[in-house]
Amino acid sequence: MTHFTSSLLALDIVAQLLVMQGGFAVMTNGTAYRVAPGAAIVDAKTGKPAATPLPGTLVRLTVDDAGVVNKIASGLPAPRVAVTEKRVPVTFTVRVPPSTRPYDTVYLTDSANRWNPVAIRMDRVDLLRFRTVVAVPAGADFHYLYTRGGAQTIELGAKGTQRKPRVLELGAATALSVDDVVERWGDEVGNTLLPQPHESPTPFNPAPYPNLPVPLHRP
Amino acid sequence: VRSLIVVFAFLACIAANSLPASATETYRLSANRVAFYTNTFILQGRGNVQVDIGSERHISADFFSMDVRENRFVVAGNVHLFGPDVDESFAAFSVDLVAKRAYAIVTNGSLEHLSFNDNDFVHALRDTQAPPGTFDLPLIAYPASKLGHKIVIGARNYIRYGSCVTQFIGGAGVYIPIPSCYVNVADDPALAQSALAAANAGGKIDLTGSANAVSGLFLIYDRVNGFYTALQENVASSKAWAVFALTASGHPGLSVIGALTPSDAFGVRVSTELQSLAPTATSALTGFRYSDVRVSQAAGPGYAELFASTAADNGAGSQFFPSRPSSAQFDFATPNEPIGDLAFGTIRFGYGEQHDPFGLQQLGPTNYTTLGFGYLNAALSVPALPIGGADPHRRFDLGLLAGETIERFSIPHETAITTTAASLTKPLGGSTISLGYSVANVADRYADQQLAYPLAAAGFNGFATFRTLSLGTTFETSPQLTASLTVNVHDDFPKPDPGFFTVVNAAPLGQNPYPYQLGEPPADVTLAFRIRLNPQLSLDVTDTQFINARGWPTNTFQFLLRP
Repeated sequence: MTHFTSSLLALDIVAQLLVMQGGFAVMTNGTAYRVAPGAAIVDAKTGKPAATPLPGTLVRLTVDDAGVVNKIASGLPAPRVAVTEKRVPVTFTVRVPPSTRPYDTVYLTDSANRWNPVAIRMDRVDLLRFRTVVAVPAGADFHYLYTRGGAQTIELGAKGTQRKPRVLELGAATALSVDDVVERWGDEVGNTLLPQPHESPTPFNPAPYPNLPVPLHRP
Repeated sequence: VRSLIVVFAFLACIAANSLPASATETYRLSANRVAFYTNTFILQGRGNVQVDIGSERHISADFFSMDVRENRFVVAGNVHLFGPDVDESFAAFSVDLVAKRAYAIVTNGSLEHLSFNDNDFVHALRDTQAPPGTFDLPLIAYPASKLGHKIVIGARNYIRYGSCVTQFIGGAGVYIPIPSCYVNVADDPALAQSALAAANAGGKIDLTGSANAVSGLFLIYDRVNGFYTALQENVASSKAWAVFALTASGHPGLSVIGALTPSDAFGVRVSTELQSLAPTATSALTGFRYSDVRVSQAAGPGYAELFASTAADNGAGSQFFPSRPSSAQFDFATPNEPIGDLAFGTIRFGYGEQHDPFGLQQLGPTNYTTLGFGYLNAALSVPALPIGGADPHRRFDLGLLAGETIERFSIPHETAITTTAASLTKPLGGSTISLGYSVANVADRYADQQLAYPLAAAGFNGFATFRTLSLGTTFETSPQLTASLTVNVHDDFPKPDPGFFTVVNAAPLGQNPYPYQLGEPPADVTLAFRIRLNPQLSLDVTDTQFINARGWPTNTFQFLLRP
């Protein structure tokens, strides 16, 4: 990040400092400026003398017509959007298998959220589609899977086995839409579902209803 | 004993696979202040930075920065690289751990750029311009998620503090001390598996771990068990994982789940559980054990599976009915294959047997202890048929779904579920409006219906129809705010009859309700939204209001705060 303003006598440069050492101010973009031996270092807000700025902070360098820095203003506030600017809004739309029940909730679980299975709830668009928008960090692959809210329900592959995480490579995209298909949920077995942990699987219920009238409750 | 044999045999398989294909390299960092920013994976060290990069090589500096998802770090300010074969000083130094390439900037009176290849720090290449981005540092404008002094970095995999303080609520800058902090940043969910039940409220603290294991402490609340704590241990390799959970506080239990996937075409999943329960006014159960194994093999266009389970209940008192069911079944399923350009179809069938020496089902005077069953399930769907042409202003998406499941038992009993549903969705940029209608006819049919359903109250004798008209809208234009509003109107048979059908409690977060609940309220409205409060915290809220509930819960409300 570099920003220039100039006057007849001096040039002001706002940039991110990598290091000040050995008579040079080196910016994170690789640009280096010679620093005058008595260059003033001041706080940008108060104008009072300040310590040598830390690496990574935004500074304003005042450079004379000889290209030498004679004043450094430190403590410029980092814009609050600075990091989120490096994120890309991605719309994920997933088509779920027809075995997905009407009241099921679908979530997107990803490495950025440490694979929390309820981290990103998706909204049901219609019968078989769910959607959400996620700010995906740029510059690194985004690894994700779909789940119905638990580690046991994370999607499986078309061959019925555990699948590798999906990978999204953003490249230079500024916004993106991704369409995915879930083949099978992880807790499906035969025509029923695996019991969730701590869920007593007994007694056997031969009826297709979970809540028969009390006098009929089996066995 | 059989359960333990299965589990230990499975763990032996995991042990045989105990390390990933490429072992994770680790580095040690210490500084006056080591800060980790969870939402961006940035690790920063400030003041008296010491980095151990292996091979007896060390770096000291004033500042350290690394995105732990990448194998690259930058050190700056009085950088000193030293070891058996090297003793160099720089102003800044950038190291790519995978490419084994490093770049340095020297400012001793004049400016000089150096580079090093293949970890050879003796022979510097001079006047080598670093690629763009080599010395990039993140601009950070919010509090650190975790703070400490010493840390182990498993490249692209995890970080582990010796001791740390962790932010209590993201973005608030309020910290609580923890003896050890671990954050897994792996690209694979193997170490994030859980053997614990879904919770109404709770949190997890990862205490310690490595590239292949994590130890975590859970604090959980659910409506059935109240507050309790649990210790969970995850272990994983490149092709297998297992998770052990030990619950305490009122209802001790042990849950183990493991999976082995040696190839894309074959996989095994096992689970076993020993759980104690607190008897309630409606249940005399004091505990149960349960084990299952699922073996999946790709076969032709789909996959075949073998599934077996065994369980047993413990209990006391006259209200306790012992139960010890076991089952074994074979299944075959096809994925959702395209049929033509617009439709998809899937088919699933299987056969199995269930057995319980205490009896599975009582029909009249007969107590059946063994039941065979076979089922066939077929579904045809059209997920989104665009109608109205290509003009986005006139376009609608039509969704259609038809499904049939028939299950026949070895006694004169069969169940049949026929579902048909349609939806019409209007895309509006990032938003949608959708109108849907579904009908599910559910039949629980016996040769002698009166024997199974002797009570004809509410006219219910095993045959039900669930009709739902739904209107929903979604708002998905920004990651800062997503929302949806859904209204469902049900016209079911049998009609809701207060006190007749067993009330089904609302499912906790992450667990879905059972379908075909008899007597559900005639209408419900659900509002859900997710809003980002700050770069480190978002709020997820779901609220369902049941209208004319008459004995059912009138409202369910869930919220989730997450990074």
